[in-house]
Amino acid sequence: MTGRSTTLGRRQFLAGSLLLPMAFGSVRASAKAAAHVVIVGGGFAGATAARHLARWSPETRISLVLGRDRYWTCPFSNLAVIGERSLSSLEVRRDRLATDNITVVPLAARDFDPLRRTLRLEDDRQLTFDRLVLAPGIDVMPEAIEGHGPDAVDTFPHAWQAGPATDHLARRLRAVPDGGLVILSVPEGPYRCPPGPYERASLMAWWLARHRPRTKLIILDANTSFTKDNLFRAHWQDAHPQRLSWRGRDDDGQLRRVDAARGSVHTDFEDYRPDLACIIPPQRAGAIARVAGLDGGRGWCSVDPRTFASTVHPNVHVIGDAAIANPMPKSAFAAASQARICAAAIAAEFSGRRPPEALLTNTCYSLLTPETAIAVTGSYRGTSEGVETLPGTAGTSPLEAPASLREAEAGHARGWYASARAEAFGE
Amino acid sequence: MRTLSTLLLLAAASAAAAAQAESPSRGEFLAGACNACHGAEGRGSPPLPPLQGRDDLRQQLQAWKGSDEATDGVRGTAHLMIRFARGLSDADIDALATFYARQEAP
Ligand SMILES: Cc1cc2nc3c(=O)[nH]c(=O)nc-3n(C[C@H](O)[C@H](O)[C@H](O)COP(=O)(O)OP(=O)(O)OC[C@H]3O[C@@H](n4cnc5c(N)ncnc54)[C@H](O)[C@@H]3O)c2cc1C
Ligand code: HEC
Repeated sequence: MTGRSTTLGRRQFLAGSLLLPMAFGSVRASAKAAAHVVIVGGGFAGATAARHLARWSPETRISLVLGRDRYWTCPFSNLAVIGERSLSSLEVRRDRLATDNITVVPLAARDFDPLRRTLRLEDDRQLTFDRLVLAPGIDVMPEAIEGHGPDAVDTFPHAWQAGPATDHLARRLRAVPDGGLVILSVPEGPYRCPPGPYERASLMAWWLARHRPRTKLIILDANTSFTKDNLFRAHWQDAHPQRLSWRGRDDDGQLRRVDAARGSVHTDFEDYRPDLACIIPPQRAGAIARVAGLDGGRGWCSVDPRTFASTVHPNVHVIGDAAIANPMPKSAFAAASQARICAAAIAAEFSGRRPPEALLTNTCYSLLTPETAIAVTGSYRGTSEGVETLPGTAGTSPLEAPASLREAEAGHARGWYASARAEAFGE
Repeated sequence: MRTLSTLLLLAAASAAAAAQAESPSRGEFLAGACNACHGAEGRGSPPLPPLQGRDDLRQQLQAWKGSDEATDGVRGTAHLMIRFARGLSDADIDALATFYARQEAP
């Protein structure tokens, strides 16, 4: 408080602040104590944004629109696929999210009008917002693959949104006979969790080595390279030279067609009849982030990474997997980092300040086995031109490392996971 | 009367601005990026150590920032911390160090 204001009595000070709304346009939102921010999606991005905004802008009212679905974290769900972790340990109970300033709305959002600043819920009720934050994650598009579609997802399970589908994939894996064939197909980027398919392949191979030692695993990849590929490949070469093979796009790795009735999978030159084909479909932003031209027809939303405001409708922010923030990957870690920037920027604007300098960070741990892991990291700056990697910050775990380092990093991964859940969900 | 109310307005505005300016402070904002691993409020998340109350963060972060990845990175798990430190300006390192040092150790 300044010297001048301390000379005023408390009553006078209050009287002064009551006059504020009419006098100062720029601080109106904070002073009128009624700015309303609606956040759609209560995953890592939305929940983290809600909790930080509540802390940094205590006078703002927040409605967190969660939908009716339960929520299981994707991080660590690849362990559940191989039976090394229970599905229930991945479930987040989101009852701790409701506070004095956060109202939890257990309904899905249907659409919104950025000009009238209204959001319509699935029961047709409307919420009026000063700011809308969209954090809906992804929609999968099995129908983008010839012969595939939503009805064939049980045949070609992906479990790229964790939950009962994760257990279904785990059962399908256990049903694979020894001497059989498993296929894991990776879509062309961008997709959720760039290292996720290779973590899953590593863990599946670890499980096969113990339980179905003669079964083979082929990764069919629509990409020509992937994150941490030198580390993953060195591990595969070392631990699974005969078991696991990777075929990139230049090596007939691009999936062309599936046949759901036969369970067959086809590339340009090969026809596979696997016992299990885990087909990760192409993806796009969750439907609510494709309303009102927000995705420019591209499937993902362009944002100003200094605030994560949409470049199409600036009073709508998009964070998490739904936003375009490359070179940041679509990860829970990145989602939380974006949520912090977005919350701090909204808090700043409501009180007439400039948004903070946008430092963004990411670290993705990937398990090679249940007890060993590798990491990739990077720090970034949000600029008017987009997201820029800061010099010297991008890198991975060392290629040559003793087992003790890989084991230590698996421990760090568990430490991160607990922190991420605590930050987002207040666990 | 008119001058008094103008004075009141100005005083209230600057008081409000002073209160608002701290929300979040640079240190608190940046600490979010550390607490992402080191636990809520920097309380630690085993095996990741707590940061709350540490008074050596400025030296530690500066040492990482100046270190040579080719040797330090390979030796141990500090490869991440070295890279994070390189993304921080000196002012940001000071803000972080001050923020954590003011908290009580767990
Ligand atoms: C196998 C796998 C492993 C992974 N491992 C890691 C890891 O180790 N580390 C890491 O950082 N990341 C990991 N990820 C990535 C991580 O899961 C995502 O990046 C993260 O979940 C993105 O958060 P989000 O909030 O954007 O989306 P989500 O977590 O999907 O949350 C979005 C929420 O919004 C809800 N929603 C959508 N539309 C509406 C609507 N209209 N109304 C109301 N609610 C709605 C959804 O139901 C959902 O609950 C992994 C992903 C996978 C698939
Ligand atoms: C991705 C996870 C991650 C993030 C984010 C992270 N750290 Fe760390 N931190 C680690 C790991 C891993 C170690 C090493 C632990 C070990 O070797 O036992 C570590 C160690 C440290 C140590 C050394 C502790 C000791 O006494 O040896 C300090 C200090 C520290 N971090 C501070 C920070 C600060 C400050 C930030 C934010 C700028 C930060 N960390 C962000 C993972 C992280």
